[in-house]
Amino acid sequence: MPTPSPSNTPLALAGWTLSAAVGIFLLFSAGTKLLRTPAVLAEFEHLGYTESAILAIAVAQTVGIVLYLLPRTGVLGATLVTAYMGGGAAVHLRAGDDVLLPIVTAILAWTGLVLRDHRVHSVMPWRTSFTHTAPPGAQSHRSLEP
Amino acid sequence: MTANHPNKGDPSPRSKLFWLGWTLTILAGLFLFFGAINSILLTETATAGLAKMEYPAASARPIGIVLLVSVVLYLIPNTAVLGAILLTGYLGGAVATHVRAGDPLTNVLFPVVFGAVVWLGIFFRDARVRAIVPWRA
Repeated sequence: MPTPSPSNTPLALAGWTLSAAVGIFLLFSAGTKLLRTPAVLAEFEHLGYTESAILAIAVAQTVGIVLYLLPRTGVLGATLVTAYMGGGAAVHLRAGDDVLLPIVTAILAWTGLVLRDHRVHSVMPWRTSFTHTAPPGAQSHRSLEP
Repeated sequence: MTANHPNKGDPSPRSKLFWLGWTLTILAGLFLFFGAINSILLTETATAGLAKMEYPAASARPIGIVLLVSVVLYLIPNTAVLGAILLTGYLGGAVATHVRAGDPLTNVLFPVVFGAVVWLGIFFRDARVRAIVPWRA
């Protein structure tokens, strides 16, 4: 029996939409760093980073997002994005800022991935037995088959 | 679905790789567990380390509690992936902190290597993790 196609279920579509939204937001964020906008320079100074770190941080961010958006490397990309967001949370905590945005972004990234890929769903947030790995959307999709 | 898959995530749960996975998991888990306890008990090591990195002193205990919860989830087999993700976020925070402080590359890379060990621990012992990390089979 073929694996339920991850792109054919309503849940997977929602997952890809969420993934794309997170991806666009983060690519925009990386783009502002590459362009060294005044807001980025002010933020880096506020957080106590040297300007020379901007390029490396933007590149790391972009690599993570691209891997996240590719179907086969979604988990690796989400992991790199999570580390990046953990860094964001840490430096904002250090500066006495609010730390909610990076945490919410990471949660949204994983939610998108879990929805779009039932194999990720089978180990997240907790491991389910294989009889329950297909998300409800995939099961209803399968039941429509002759 | 069920016809094509064994009931367990790993068809050979007692293979050498399986035990290597658990060894890495326990080693990483113990190290991070003691780190969490240090932070929660506000030991000299923990508070001095945070002060050096210019973190508010009041952040020690919350950081320790977040780390402890992550480690416990990582050590419970059913929530190991969620735990590894939370630990990744924690270790990413360590990387960012060392980058900010302008520390040598070895200090910056230590949490990166540690994160790899955390993931290898579950990678070796769970076929379902191997199916999606580092790329989808």
